[in-house]
Amino acid sequence: MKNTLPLLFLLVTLISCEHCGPQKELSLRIDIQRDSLQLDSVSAIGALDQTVFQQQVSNTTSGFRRLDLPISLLADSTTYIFAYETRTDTLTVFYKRDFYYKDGCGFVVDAHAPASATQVKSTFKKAGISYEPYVRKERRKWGVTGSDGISIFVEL
Amino acid sequence: MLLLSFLAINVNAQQAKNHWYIGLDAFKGIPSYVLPNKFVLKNTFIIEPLVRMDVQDSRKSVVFGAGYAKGTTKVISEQIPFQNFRGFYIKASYEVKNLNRPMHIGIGPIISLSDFNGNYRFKGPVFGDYEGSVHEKRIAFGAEGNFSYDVRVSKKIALRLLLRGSVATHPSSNMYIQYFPGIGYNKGIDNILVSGGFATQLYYRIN
Repeated sequence: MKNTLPLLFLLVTLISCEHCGPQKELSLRIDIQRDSLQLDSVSAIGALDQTVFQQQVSNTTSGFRRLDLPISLLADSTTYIFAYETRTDTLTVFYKRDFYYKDGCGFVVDAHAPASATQVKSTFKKAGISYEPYVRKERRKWGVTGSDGISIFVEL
Repeated sequence: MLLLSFLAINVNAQQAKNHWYIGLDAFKGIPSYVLPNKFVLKNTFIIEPLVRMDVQDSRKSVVFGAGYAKGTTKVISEQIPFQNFRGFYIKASYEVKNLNRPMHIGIGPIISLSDFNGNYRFKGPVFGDYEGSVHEKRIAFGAEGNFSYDVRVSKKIALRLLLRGSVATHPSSNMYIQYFPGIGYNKGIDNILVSGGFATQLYYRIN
C-alpha cells in the first residue's frame, strides 16, 4: 500500500492535466473543397515570414486540400491571399484575441468569435467558420484529443 | 489587543530588567547585486529594521520587524522573462532561547502588501511577437518559523544567523508571483506561498 500511493499520484497526474493551449502564435485550419485548380501560392498580409505558407501549399495536393495557417496575434483579423493558376482569392478571418493568466499554465492565448456579426469575408464561392477554444477550461483527459481552435471551410 | 499585549510585555520587561535590542537585516539583497546573473533576484534592495524585547529573564523574547523590498526576479516563465516587485511587510516572532547556547527558535505572523508588474510575450515567428503588460497589487498573510544562532561581536553587538521557513497565502492573482516581499522566493504554486531561506541580522543592545 505504501509503495502504491506515489504510483497512484503519478497516474492521476498523467491522466488529468491542465489544458494550456499552444501558448504561442495560433493557427487555424482551412479545408478547401472542390479544389480542382492548381494552387500556386498562399500568403498573408502583414506576415514577416511567408515561407510557412508556401510550405503548406507544397505539402498538399488538389482535390481536398487542408492547410494549417498561422493567425496574427497583433490584430483581430488576418487576411490570406490564395493565388491559383487562373484566379486569385482573398479570405479575411475575424476573431477576438484573449490573453490571460491561468493557474498551472501561466499566460495563455485564445481566440474567440468576434462580437461583430462578420466572422469571415472572402471571394470564394462559399466560406464557413467555426470557433472552438484553443484553451479548454476543463482538465484534459489523457488520450482524448479534440479539434481545437478556428476551423474554416471554403469552396471554389 | 496587540497594543495591550505590547504594553504588557513592555511593563513585564521593565520589571524584570530585560534587554531591548534594535536590529537590522540589510544583507538579503546583496547577492542580487554581486551575482546578478547567477541569482534569481536582480538589483534588489531589501531592508528590514527589527526591535527585540526580552521577556521572562531573557529566556523568551518578542521580535517586531518591518521591511521594504524593491527589485526584479528573472525567468518567471517562457511568456514572462522578468517581474518587478515592490512591497512593505510587517512581521512578529515569539522566541524561546536555549538555556545553554545562544540559540533561539521562534514563530510568528507575517503580512505583506506588495505590487508586481511585468511584460508577457507570445512569440510570433510569422506575424511578430505580441507583448502585453500586467500589474497587480496583492496582500499576503501567513506565518514564519525560524531558528537562529547569535554570534557575539562585542558587549552590545551580536550577529544573528537565522534559518527561516514561511507559509503564506494570497488571493488569486492574474500572474504567477515568484518573489513576494517579506515571504520570499516561491516556486510553482499559485496561491500558496512556501518559502525558506537564510538571513543575517545585526543586533545592538540598547539597555
